[in-house]
Amino acid sequence: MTDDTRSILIVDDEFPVRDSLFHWFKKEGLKAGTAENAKAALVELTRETWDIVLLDLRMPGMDGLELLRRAREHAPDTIYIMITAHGSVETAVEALKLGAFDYIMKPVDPDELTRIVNKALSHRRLTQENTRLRAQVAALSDDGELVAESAKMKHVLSLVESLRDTDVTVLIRGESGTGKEVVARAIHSRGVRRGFPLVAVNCGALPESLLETELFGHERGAFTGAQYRRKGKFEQADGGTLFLDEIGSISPRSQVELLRVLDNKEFTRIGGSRPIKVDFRVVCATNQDLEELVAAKTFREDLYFRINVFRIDLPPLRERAGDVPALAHHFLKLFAIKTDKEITEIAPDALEVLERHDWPGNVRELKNAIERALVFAEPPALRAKDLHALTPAARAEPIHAPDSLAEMEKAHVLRVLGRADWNITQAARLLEVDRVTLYNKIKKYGLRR
Amino acid sequence: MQGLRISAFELPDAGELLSELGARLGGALRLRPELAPLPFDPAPLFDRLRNQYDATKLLRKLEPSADGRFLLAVTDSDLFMPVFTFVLGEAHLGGKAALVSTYRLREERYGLPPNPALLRTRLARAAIHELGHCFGLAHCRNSRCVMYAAASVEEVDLKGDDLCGRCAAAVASSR
Repeated sequence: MTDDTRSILIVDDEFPVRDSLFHWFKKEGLKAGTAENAKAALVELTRETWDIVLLDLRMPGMDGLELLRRAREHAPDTIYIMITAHGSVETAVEALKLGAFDYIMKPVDPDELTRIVNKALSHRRLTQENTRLRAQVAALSDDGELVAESAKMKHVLSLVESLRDTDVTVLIRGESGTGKEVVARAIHSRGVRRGFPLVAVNCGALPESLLETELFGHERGAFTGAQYRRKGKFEQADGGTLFLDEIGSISPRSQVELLRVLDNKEFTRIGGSRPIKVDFRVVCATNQDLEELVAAKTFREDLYFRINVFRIDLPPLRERAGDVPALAHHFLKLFAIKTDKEITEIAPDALEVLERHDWPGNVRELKNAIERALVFAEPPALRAKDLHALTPAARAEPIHAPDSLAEMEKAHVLRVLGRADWNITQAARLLEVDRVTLYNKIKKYGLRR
Repeated sequence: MQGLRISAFELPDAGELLSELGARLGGALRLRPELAPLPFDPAPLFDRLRNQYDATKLLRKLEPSADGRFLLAVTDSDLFMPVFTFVLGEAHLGGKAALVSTYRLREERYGLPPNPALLRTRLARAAIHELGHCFGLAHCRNSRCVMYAAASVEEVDLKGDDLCGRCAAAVASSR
């Protein structure tokens, strides 16, 4: 049970019990504290964080159950173990229902106490480990991560910050790959609905009928193949945020239906008859000029006004002076951890290549470029030669490509193999095929080093 | 070398047990042991309902009697602390007094034939452990170290006779 960083607060009105346990836990190497009643315990719990609270169920004034209830409000992550006298097991069970970790009967066997406290400590350790890992995973993913060194992106960030703790509808505009979903996630994570999910729908990727099913869900038997009832994105986003990407691509019919749902906060599943109430925030994104679409009558004006409440324009990467190195380092850190490669820096020659490039595919292109370059990079730094996909020669290659698809494939496979120095695993990863497929291609085209 | 008084009460085989215990303690903790009678009458601290001595109260009486030296009380009566069913011994971190009981260390208690040699080993481990607390040692994670926490006689048997290197160094620096 020894763990010198751990602490235990003993709450008992009887001095001999408090005293015995205090000395017992000190010898276990724990930081021990005592409180003689519920009031003193609450003061201790607000003053500092305790890993474990050992709590007598029967105390004058406020009893252990009431104290447990209040203590959990102050310190919900602390582990509570109840001490109970013989005959009050029912109360102890009540305490378990209120969130106590376990209970022990007075008098307790020393090894029983050791066992329970050990169990509580390892539970606490796992919980903390879990929280830490979740934070690490969140840091590894791009969710809500905004890199802003340039004045233009700093302005975007200030707009996002101004939306903190609000629920307003937002329209994000920007070229493809500028990070509209990242901004949507940042808005969601700062908004009042952050405890609920953000549900993203790419409206441009789905044909009209599928988009409808995707958004509304369907009842069993609503159409051929609808074997089960399925919840749509509207229901999944209930309480949270619905992120509608490429909103400019939805059909006129879908626009009418969407507008109705946004206005009434109510919809009916396909094949269903019961209206379902939903409550979500709406964040839309588009790379199209919506005003032009409204003028051309392909986008409804009323829907446009409904979604264009707060507008954020995302600059293309070529206009974000200073952001390329910052983003490159951000992605380097991300992929170095993911691929377990000890690449910690970007060499000056590689930075020059990155800064010279005009990034038509914006941040997405930069992210992919770093991910690919990491396949070739040798510790400790990523160098210009690892970024050969960005060099003018590499980009000019397709101009001389053969007409035949098979010839094109053969040449491409050969080129990638050459780039990977015939490392099959690396080449297969670049080609995004498995190693067996790559071997088959080598065999099929009779490729040799 | 610091002095250590060893006092026995309600311990039938005190003569046989304590002379060897003194030698073992002297070696392990570099203490100069001497046998002395218990400086007070323990009888009022006996709990007739539980048929055990209250270790917390005994220790509270032993501490001021230590008189600047270390004091170890050994008894064959069973010990308890208010919240525990029993304890094998008791001492406070940085205190001067320690208390151990042979009651649960004897093989006869578990229906086995007496084993005086094993009893002497167990008693020495329990006594060094409790006096180790007086030197400021908390429980050790090294299962071979005598400061490893033992809540039962099986665990007393599993650990070693001596302090591990880290605990020994801590005792040396505390002098």
